[in-house]
Amino acid sequence: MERYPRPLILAYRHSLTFMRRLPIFLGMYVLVPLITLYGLHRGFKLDDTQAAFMVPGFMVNAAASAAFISTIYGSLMRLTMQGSYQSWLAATLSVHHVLQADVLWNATRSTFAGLGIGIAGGWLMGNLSFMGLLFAMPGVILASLAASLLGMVIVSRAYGFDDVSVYEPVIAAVFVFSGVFAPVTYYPEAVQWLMTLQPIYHGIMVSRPAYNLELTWGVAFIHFSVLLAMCGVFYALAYRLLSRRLIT
Amino acid sequence: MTADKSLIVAQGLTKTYTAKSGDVMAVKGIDFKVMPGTCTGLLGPNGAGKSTTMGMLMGLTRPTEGTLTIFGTPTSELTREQRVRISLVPQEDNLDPDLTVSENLFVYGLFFGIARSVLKDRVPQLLDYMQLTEKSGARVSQLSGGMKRRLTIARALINDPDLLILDEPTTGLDPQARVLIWQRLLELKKTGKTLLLTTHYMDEAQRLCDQIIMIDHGDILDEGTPRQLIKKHVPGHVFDMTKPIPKNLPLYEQEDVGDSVLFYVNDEDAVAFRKAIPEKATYLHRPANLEDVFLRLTGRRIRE
Ligand SMILES: Nc1ncnc2c1ncn2[C@@H]1O[C@H](COP(=O)(O)OP(=O)(O)OP(=O)(O)O)[C@@H](O)[C@H]1O
Ligand SMILES: [Mg+2]
Repeated sequence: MERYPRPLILAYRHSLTFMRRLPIFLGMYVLVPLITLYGLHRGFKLDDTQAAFMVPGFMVNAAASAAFISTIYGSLMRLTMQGSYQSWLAATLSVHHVLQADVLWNATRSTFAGLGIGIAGGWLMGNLSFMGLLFAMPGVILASLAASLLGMVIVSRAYGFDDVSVYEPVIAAVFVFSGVFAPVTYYPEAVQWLMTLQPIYHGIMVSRPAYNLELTWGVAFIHFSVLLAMCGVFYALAYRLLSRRLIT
Repeated sequence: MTADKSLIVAQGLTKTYTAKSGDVMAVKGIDFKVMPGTCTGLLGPNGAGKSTTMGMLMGLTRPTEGTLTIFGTPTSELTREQRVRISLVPQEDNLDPDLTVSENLFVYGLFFGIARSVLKDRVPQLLDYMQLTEKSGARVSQLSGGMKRRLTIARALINDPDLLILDEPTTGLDPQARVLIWQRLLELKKTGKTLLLTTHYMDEAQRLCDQIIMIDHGDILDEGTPRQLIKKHVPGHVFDMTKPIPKNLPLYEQEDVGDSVLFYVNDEDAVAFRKAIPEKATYLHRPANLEDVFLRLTGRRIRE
């Protein structure tokens, strides 16, 4: 009976719609952060070490922000306006399927944005390394998953645009306070503590050394554990809220 | 499992929505059965609890109390194989606006575990069946309301279900589209499928349904075949007299409907009543129908 796992079928559904919007997506999520990076590069005349510092930070940040945004808007639309979740549940899918597929989808396509920035940014800065990119990806992926799951927690309680758009400014703050631009130690201790609450921070903390082929097992263990724990907590919360919302 | 042949059995089925603004008891301990291969109409005013009942059948709403079984299995314990045999046409279209018309059917079919090779044939067949072939490449937003409804019904048929639950399938459709849907539903019934539908069109219910369940305020008011209900609740003849109403008409139950008054007259007196109507008066003489029963049972007051 079962031919393909149902979350995969959902992912296929998402890919059908996505392929039609690929150029816009690439423009928005790859080109725009790239322009920022380019601006920084020009304005501050980044040297090699600074570039090696910035590129992985931008990868994680761009991917996770894209995951968050596409969740709070895309998943909100599917839940409220389009009634898609309800229609999928009527077609034998479970709340787990719906949640997993939407989050995986939002996170994966955002991951491509991160990869795109890594490739283009590395090329622009003259420090393109394929091994580095490859090793940076797990941090990018996990941070995106956590960001998308957090977005789902918000969406599960939202009824309209205004319920989610209030979280948009947070993205800008996270951009600054996740360690994209400067090492954590540059900030006061209270701020440092706040920074550790963000998935993007932990993503950067592993992806940056990984990108520069300097990742140690200890660092990897700590930050991957935190990211996985965040994913677990957000998943449980999102599942609970979404079930309550969908199954009345 | 029971020896009961019923496809759906509801016993003491209750649903209370809990909300901050106060609890709503939408379904109040109803009992009903649906036999396989029949069409059952769930009729009632707005807010009666029809969609809630259908939601419980689909597992989208959890019963607060009572039992509800389909194929002899409680709805909460239905296996995937059993759920694949059930389809829903929801009250509000929830077609996928990101996909084309044919993709809507194709992807939905995949959810039910149907092979691509099967779907490649079935999707065009269904589009043809619902007269949507020309629109197969269009986006949902490019369809009219009636086309969307037809597509929603086509989508519900993609898994070739044994039980088809239709929540107001023809609301907002033009007469041609309604007739097409009636034809299709009657054909489906002939192939042995079980239909459970709601509608606010009494003529539709009378045409399609073998069994009618009238509900209001979450309670079952009565049930039976359309014929039984008419016989039981209203006299057989209705004289729809345009105002002004002639004087000296025999006294019968009447109902003011604005520009005219309905007189309910029993079979024995119908001929005499007609003779008593002055020649100049304008009127329409018709047999009593389900609409008369509906108004009789649920009253005239406007709902929510
Ligand atoms: N999710 C919900 N939360 C709270 N109350 C609800 C919910 N859904 C329905 N109700 C209430 O339950 C009652 C029955 O609603 P339901 O949608 O089942 O009616 P219906 O018979 O389908 O009406 P209609 O003909 O208008 O579609 C109504 O009083 C409604 O306000
Ligand atoms: Mg309803």
